[in-house]
Amino acid sequence: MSTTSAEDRIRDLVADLHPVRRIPPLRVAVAWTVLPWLVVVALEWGLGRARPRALGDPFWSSPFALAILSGLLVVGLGSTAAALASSVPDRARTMRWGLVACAIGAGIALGGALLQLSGALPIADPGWWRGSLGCLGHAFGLGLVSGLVALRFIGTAAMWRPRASSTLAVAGAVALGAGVVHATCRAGETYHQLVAHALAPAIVAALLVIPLGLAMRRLYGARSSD
Amino acid sequence: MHDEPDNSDDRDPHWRAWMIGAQEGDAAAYEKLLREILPRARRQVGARVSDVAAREDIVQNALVSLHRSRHTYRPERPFSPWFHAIVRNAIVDWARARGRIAQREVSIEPESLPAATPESTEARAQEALSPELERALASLPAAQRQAVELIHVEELSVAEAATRAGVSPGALKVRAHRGYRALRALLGRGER
Repeated sequence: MSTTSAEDRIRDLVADLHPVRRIPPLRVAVAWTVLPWLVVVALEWGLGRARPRALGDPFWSSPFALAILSGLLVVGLGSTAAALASSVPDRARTMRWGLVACAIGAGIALGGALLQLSGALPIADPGWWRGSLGCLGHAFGLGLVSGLVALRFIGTAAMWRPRASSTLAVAGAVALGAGVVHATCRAGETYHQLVAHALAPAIVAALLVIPLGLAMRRLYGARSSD
Repeated sequence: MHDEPDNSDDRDPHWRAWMIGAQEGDAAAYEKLLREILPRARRQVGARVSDVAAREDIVQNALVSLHRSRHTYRPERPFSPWFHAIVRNAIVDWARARGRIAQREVSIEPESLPAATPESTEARAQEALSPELERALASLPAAQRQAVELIHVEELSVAEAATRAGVSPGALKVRAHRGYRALRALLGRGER
């Protein structure tokens, strides 16, 4: 039990008071997080590294491909909003909506990829996964700056569950990157599209969940652990 | 305390103004705010936590969390939901920490370390420590010994013990846990 009385605690806190800079409104924070992704994508396209498919490309008329693309973008925005909201005390409702959007987006993307897979031929090239690593890395790279901006916001706001918040932030950023990769990647294998595009956010988040949680706790401290 | 009418909605404009003042460094506004919301925090904690001894710790942790998170309050939003979310998080933190501590420590305290859980004061604790336990404590690494002593001899809360030791609460809990494990091993060996 505490040996300090609430009165003493209040006195200590008042004595420690200094002016602080407010965090931006949540929608502004989300916009600032998504903006670097748009800039990176524009730079990539401007430099000719990755271009979207031509309008006549069968990709744009494939319901499966469009489901993966739209699902990834919904996951990206929902997960990012949920991650940022999880670090602001009274934004639990926004966080829940973000998580719902994330789940719906994941369902659409995975549903599209799996339905596409159900009609596919068995894997012809046993080395298909090598190309998948490239796409996973590309999706990560495209979302990296956005992910770092989100992590910075989470760490400097009122981070409460470092592992969960940072995992959501990274999943969101990679989902945005994977959306662009999906729209530009020329690989047609359905397994590749499932693993390297639709599952990219989950794979990268699963790989980074523990190191990210530890890093966030070390960098910014935490009021609680998860 | 429980009979006090809940007029949070009426008071919210005042709290909001004081919180904005606090964010700008107005100590008088901040003190008024903390004093006025303290009974609300106690009531919220009291309604959800049956462990009377833990309630004051949780309330104080919530005040500390509010202090650390004060930059996350946005003036265009009401104050009460923000404040109640902080108190709710403090309650959840306490419940989770209690669950973890119970898992790790339950078997140590009553059986192996009868003298390591004195009832109230440090002086009484020092008297009650058996020579065996004192020897075992002395053989622990300094950091582990300090963690065990702060929590179980001086009876500080984890947060206070962590502040005293100059480490995070998580690090202090790990040290204490390792200390208990080492003590159990040492005392178990002595009994055999």
